Amino acid sequence: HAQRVTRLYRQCLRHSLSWIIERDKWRREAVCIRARFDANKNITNMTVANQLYEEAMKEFNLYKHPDPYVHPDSPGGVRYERNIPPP
Amino acid sequence: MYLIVLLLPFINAFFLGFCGRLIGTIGSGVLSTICMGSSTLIALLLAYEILVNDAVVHIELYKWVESEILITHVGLLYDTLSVTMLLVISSISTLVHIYSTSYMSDDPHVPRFLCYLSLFTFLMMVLVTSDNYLQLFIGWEGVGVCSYLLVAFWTTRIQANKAAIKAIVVNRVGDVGVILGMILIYKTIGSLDFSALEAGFVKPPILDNGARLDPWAPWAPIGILLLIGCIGKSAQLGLHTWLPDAMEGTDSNGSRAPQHKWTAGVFLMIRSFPLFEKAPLALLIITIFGALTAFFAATVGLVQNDLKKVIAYSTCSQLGYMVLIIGIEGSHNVGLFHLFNHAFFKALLFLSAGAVVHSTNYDEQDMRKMGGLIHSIPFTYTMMLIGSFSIMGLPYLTGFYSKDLILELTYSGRNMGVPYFISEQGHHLESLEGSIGSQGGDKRPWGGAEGSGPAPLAPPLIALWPESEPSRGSAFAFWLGTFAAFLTAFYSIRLVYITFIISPNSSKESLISSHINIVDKRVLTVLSLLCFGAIFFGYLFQDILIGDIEHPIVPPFIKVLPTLAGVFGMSLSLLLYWGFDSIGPLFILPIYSFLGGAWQFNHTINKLIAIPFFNFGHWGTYKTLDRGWLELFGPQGAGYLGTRVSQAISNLQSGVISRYALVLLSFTIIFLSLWG
Repeated sequence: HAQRVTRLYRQCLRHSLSWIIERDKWRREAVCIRARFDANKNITNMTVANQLYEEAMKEFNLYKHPDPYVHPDSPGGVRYERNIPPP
Repeated sequence: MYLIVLLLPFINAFFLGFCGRLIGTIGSGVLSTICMGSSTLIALLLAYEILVNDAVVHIELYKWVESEILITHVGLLYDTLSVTMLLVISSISTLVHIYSTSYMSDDPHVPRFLCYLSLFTFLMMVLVTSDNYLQLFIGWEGVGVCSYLLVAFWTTRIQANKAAIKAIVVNRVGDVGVILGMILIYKTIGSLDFSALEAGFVKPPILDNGARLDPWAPWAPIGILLLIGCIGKSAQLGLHTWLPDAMEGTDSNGSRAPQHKWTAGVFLMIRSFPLFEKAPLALLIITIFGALTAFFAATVGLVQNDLKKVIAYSTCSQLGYMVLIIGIEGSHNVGLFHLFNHAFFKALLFLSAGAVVHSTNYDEQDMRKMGGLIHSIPFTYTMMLIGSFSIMGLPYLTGFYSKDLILELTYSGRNMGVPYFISEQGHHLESLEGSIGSQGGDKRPWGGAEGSGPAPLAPPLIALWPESEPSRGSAFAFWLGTFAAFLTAFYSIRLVYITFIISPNSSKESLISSHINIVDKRVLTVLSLLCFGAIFFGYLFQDILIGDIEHPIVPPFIKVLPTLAGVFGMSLSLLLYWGFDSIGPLFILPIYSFLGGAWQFNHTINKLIAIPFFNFGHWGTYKTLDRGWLELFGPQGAGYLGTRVSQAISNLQSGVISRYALVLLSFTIIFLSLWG
């Protein structure tokens, strides 16, 4: 559960940065996202935790960027597999 | 001279293709510069002869096809249109070659790249200097193949290969239109020569022996088929899906070369203009398509984050303007003028984008990871800004002279009407406006009661074209075009702002890299030359290319509206991106997704056309037909059947007496019952 929450948090940060281009403006949003995750970090009831996770995923799917940033050398990037040496 | 201008790029391509490895990157660059530079100088001489001295040169080289049904030859035609295109192609291509020698200096396959570029240039020149449709088609297909080679230059990259295949397949759809159009042209006027096309229209289409005069056939179908070709090649709405993906495979300089291919469709339309003049329906469709494309591409360009994709959609939008103005009677030269101007400011934008990409650490193309580059690459910023102002049509830059004129001519748009007819005796007949598309044949301009059966023997008729009022078609195109101008300004300034002006959003290494990487002298030279073109060429060449076009008289508000739209777009863009820091209201998200997905054309075409056709191709024609019925009734089926039958017959020889007796008895009974 911790792993999927961590991954969701990371994706939220990445997608929000894709929306809010400027880092100083994004920092504010990042702090808000962190605060929202921290508010529920001590919940031990797995039923509640799962429900919160489902709601968070729904909200993430609503707000996620249709064209998130991809590093040029990552899969899907503009420089991926360019001039790779022969096997 | 007339041949050498074509042969130089071919020689360069040939030599680099076979011996490029021997001479290496530097040698390839030197050879390319010499060949392409010489070709440009010759093109300039030709421009002086043809454009300034108003000459036309037609050279018939040799007979090509000589058969009963078709006689055609290989020839070269140098007139205003072809020489203007030649000038654009040779100059831009030369600059791209020089730029590439710097930009791609780290790439191990530069000779191959320059070979492809030169081959592309040669085939494009073949296309524009051809004097008949068949020869034009050779160049047409050739540039498609070269575009494939350039887009798939990095053969190890899957996305590049996919994009190249997509480009050539989508272009093929348009090519079908061109082929069918050529067949219809040949059937109508008996020749594929452009000179025959003009001569064929000395007399308007007059039918004889009582055939109902149908002003639509065959000019409108021919026009529409050629328009389909233009839609495919020039990435108009419907067959544009290959265009953004074509940016995947190559650097900015390699993207620039396929732009000549995009203008091939516009060239075909301008070259076929004698035909379009007689097809008002086709002209109307052309104008509407152009306006829709200009609007569509501008909306999609608003939300792109890749530097090259913004410029690619911007190009698509400007091609829409060119197609739009071709649909306005007597204004096709303005389309050529805009093509000429556009070549320079768009090349400036593309190559400046390449310089920006090259200055970053990882060849970053996403604008969201740029920012603050005005301090590290101020020269490139200036070039980009000038190119953006030119494309916005700000007063007295190159783009202003053509773009404003396009919108003014569209506003006062002519030839959206329908022809009316007079007989040789001078009797004015009713317009066919009401009868077109109606059922049951209402109005008969040559008399006869309604519903009275086939028309009687019609007197010779002469078709005239009315002085039409600005029609709904031109009004639609004007307002879409003006809104597209507003959007153009918006995304152009958005690009400049996010890339250069806002605070840096890239990594520290990337910022340091942009400061350290000094712009090469070759790049500086090329950008400076293009900048000169983006500022002055509109003013310098307007008299030569559109000197005979009368500027329409329009209300003062309409006159300044495009400029106001540009300024408003620029201001709104700055306000939104500087003043607001939130994502925005929730309803923007689906709009953003819709525009970002290019109106979901890819998804729709995949669902409705591509997947059904693939399924039909696999299950229908392959599995059921080829591997099913054709094999069953073909040689394989016959062989299989023969084997099975012979096996069955041999199984009858079981060696058991009782079985033989049974067979004997059975046949005896059958024989006796039938003939007994």
